[in-house]
Amino acid sequence: MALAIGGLTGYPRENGRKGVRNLVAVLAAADNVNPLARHLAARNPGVVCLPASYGRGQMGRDFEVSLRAMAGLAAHPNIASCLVVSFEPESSERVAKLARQLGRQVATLSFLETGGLLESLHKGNEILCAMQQAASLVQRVPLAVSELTIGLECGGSDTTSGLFGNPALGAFTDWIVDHGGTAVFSEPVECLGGEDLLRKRAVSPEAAERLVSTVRLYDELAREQGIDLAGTNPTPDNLAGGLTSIEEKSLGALAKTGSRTIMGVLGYADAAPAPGVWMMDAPAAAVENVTALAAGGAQCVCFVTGTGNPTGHPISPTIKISANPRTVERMSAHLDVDLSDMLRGHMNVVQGADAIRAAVVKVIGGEATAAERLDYLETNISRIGPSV
Amino acid sequence: MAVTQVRAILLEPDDDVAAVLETIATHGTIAVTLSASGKTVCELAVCQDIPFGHKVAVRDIIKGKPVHRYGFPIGIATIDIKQGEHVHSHNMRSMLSPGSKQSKSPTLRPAQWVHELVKSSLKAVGTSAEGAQAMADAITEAHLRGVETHGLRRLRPYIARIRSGGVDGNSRPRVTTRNALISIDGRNGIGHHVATCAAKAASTAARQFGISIVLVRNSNHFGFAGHYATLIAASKQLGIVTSNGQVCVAPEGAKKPLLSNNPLAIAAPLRSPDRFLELDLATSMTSRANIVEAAGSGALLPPGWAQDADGNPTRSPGAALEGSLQAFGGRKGFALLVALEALTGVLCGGAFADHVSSKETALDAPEGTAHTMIAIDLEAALRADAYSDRLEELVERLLALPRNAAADAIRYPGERRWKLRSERLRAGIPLSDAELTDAVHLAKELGIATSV
Repeated sequence: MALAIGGLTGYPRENGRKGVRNLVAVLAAADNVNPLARHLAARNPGVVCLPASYGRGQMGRDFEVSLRAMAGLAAHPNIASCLVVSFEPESSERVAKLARQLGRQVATLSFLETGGLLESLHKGNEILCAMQQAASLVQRVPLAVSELTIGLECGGSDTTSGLFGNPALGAFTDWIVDHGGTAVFSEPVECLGGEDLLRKRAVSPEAAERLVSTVRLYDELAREQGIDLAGTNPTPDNLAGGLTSIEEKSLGALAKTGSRTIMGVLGYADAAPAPGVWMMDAPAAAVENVTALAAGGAQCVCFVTGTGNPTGHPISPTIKISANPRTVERMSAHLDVDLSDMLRGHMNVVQGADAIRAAVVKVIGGEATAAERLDYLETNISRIGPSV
Repeated sequence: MAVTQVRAILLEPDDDVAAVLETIATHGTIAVTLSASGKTVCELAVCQDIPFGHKVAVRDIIKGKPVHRYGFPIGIATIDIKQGEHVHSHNMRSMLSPGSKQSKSPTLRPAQWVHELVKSSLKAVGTSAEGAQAMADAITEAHLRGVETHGLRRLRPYIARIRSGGVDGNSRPRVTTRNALISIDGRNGIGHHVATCAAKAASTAARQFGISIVLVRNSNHFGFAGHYATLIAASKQLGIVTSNGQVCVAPEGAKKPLLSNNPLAIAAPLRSPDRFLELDLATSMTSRANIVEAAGSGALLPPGWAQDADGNPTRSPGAALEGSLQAFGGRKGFALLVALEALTGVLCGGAFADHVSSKETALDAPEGTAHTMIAIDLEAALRADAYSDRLEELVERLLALPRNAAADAIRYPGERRWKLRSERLRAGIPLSDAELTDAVHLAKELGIATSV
C-alpha cells in the first residue's frame, strides 16, 4: 500500500503548534477540586476531565514538576481550550502562568472566589460552553511531519516486543526523524545496560554523559531502596522467554528509538527544544509515563506491547502495537496495529514500520484509537517527593 | 515439497546470535533471516533443543568474548560457544549483574610477597636500593592497614613515571639542618624515599631539641601520609605530616580547582607497640583514587563530592575527573586546606597550589611536591610512658561511652588500621584478582620471576 506523506492535517494553536485532536478540557489544579472538575465534565459532554492526584502540601522540586506537568497538559496542542479549576485562585493562576509561558491562554476558575460548588458549576458551564463553541470553529490546516512530536513507549513487553514490535517502531521513528519530526522516549530505568548504545548515538559527549548519568540515577534510586536492578533483571519471566542479560533487555526496549542521533535528556514533562530523538527523565509505569510524554507535548504516543496493555492518555492518542499473535487474538479490541505477521515471516521490519505509520496517519486524521474507543484513558502525574 | 524451515531472526547483520521463531526439538537446519529485509542470509545446522524466542549462535563465540545482539554486546561468553548452539545463562552472562561479577574471595599473600614484588620491580627499572626499600615499605604498609587505594595499584604508574624520567629513581635528597629546622631538597627523587628520610631526620632532631620541623620541596607522591606520621610516632614521638599534591580541589563557588586535597596525618604511640592513634585524612570529600574507581565501575558519586568543569555539582565520575573535588566539611574544611598549604607548599619554598605538576597528565615532568613534618619528643614533653598512659585513658574513655541503638561501635582514629595490620601480618594480605593479575603482569613485563 502506498502511503501519502502529505495530506496530514492538524488544528492550529495560538503558539504555532498544531494538534491532532480538538479537545476542550477541564483540569483540576489539586485533588480538592476533582469533584468540581468531574461534575463540569459530566455536564458538558465531550469535555475531557483531567483530575489531579495530589496538589496540596507538595513542595520543592516535586511541586515544581507537578506544576510544569499540569501546565504542559493544559497547553497541549491537542487541546483547543482548557479551563483550570482550583480551590483558591492562586493555584489555578500558577498553572495558567506557566501555560502562558508555553504560549497558550487558559481560563481559570476558583471554587472559593466563585462561591462554592453550585456557583462554580454555573460559571464553569458557561466557560466550557463558550470554549466548545469556539473550538468547533477551528479548521484543520496542513501539518508537516516536522511539526509532530511522537511519544515512544513499551509496556507488557515479551519476546515479540524486542524482536518485532520495538524494531518496527524504531524504523518508524527513524522515518519521523528523517522528515524533521521529534520522537521522545523515556523510562531511563529500562536503559540500564544500554549505556554503550546511548553513548554511541548521543549528539555530543555532554549529551552522552547526561544520558548515562540519568539512567544510572535510577539504578541508584533503586539501590537506596535496597533493590539491585541488574541483579533482579532479567526477571524469571524474561529468562523463560529467552532474555539472558539486562543489557539485552534494555537494548530490546531501546530498539523502539530507532537508530538516529539522540539529542539529549528532557526533564519530566518538558517539551523537546529541537527535532530529533530525545530521552525524557520519567518513570516507566505506563500511566505516569504517557502522562509525562503528553505533558511534554507529544501529539500521539506509539505504545508497543507484548502481553497487552490497555492504557491510553485522554489528550494524547495512544496507539497500541503488538506482534504477539495470542495478544492480537485475545485483546484485539485494545490494539491498533497488528504486527503478528512479522512472527509468521510474512512481514519484515520495514513493512511493520509502514503498518505503524499507516495507523499514525489515520489517528492524526481523526480516527479514534482503541483506547479512545473503549474510553480506557487515564492521566497521573508522577511524584518525586513526599507531601507535608 | 520440503517442510517449512524454522526461521531465526538476526536483528543486525553482524550480530553473533539470532532468535528462533519456533521451538526446536529436533536436529536440523534453520534459516537465519535478517530482520530489516526478511531475507534469509544463511542456513544453520542446529544440534540442540532451543525454545521459542531463545538465541542461537550464528557463529563460534570464544570464551570471554562479547556476544552481540542489536549491534551491541549483551554479555560475554562464559565458555566457548559453537555455531548452532543455544545461547543463554548456561554459556553467557551479563557484564553488569552482580551474580556474574568475579565475586571470588580475594587471594591472600604474605606481606613479604608484596614487599619483594615492589622492591624487585623497582630494582628492575634501576632505582636505588633505598628508594626501592622505602616504596616497598609504604606500599606494603598500605595493604596491611587496609589503605588499598595507595597499594599495588599505584606501582604501575609510579614505575611509568620513573621510566619516563618524571621521577629520578636514583637521586638522594639534600638535607640542610639549622638546629630543629631542617630543609630537604628532594631533588625529584622517589617521594616515599624522600619522605622516609624526612621522617627520620625529624625524629633525630626532635630527640635532640624536643621538637623539630622538616620542610621538604621538590619531592613526589609519597603514598599515604599516615605511614610517615607513624614512623615518627614509633620513636616515642608525636608525628604530624602534611603534603600538597596534584591540583584537584576547588573552593566553593569557583569553577576551577587551585589546591590539592592536602592530607593531614597525626600519629601518637599508645601503650602497646603495635597500636597507634593515627589520624590520616585528605581534605577533599573523597580521594581522586575513589573517583577513578567509581568511573571504572560505573557508579554514581554521592551528592556533594565533586563539581564538573563548569563548577556545577555533579554525580558523574567522568565529569568530576574533568572538573574538581569539593573540600570536606564545606567552608571549614576548605579553610583548613588553605592553611595546610600555607604550612606546606608555601613554607617549603617549592611549588605550591596548582604549580604542582599532575602525575597523571605529565608523566615526564617533576611534580615538585612539598611535605611538612613535625615531630614532638614525648620524653621531653612529659615522659613518653606518661603520655601513652594518658592517651590510652582518653581512648578507653572514648570506647566506653554508652552507644545509641544504631551504632555498632565507637572507634578512635587508627583503631581499624592497626587491628587490620595485626590480622594481615598473621593471615596475609588479601589481594583482588585485578590487583594480583596486574602485579604479576607487571613483574613479567619487567622480567622478574614471581611466585604467583
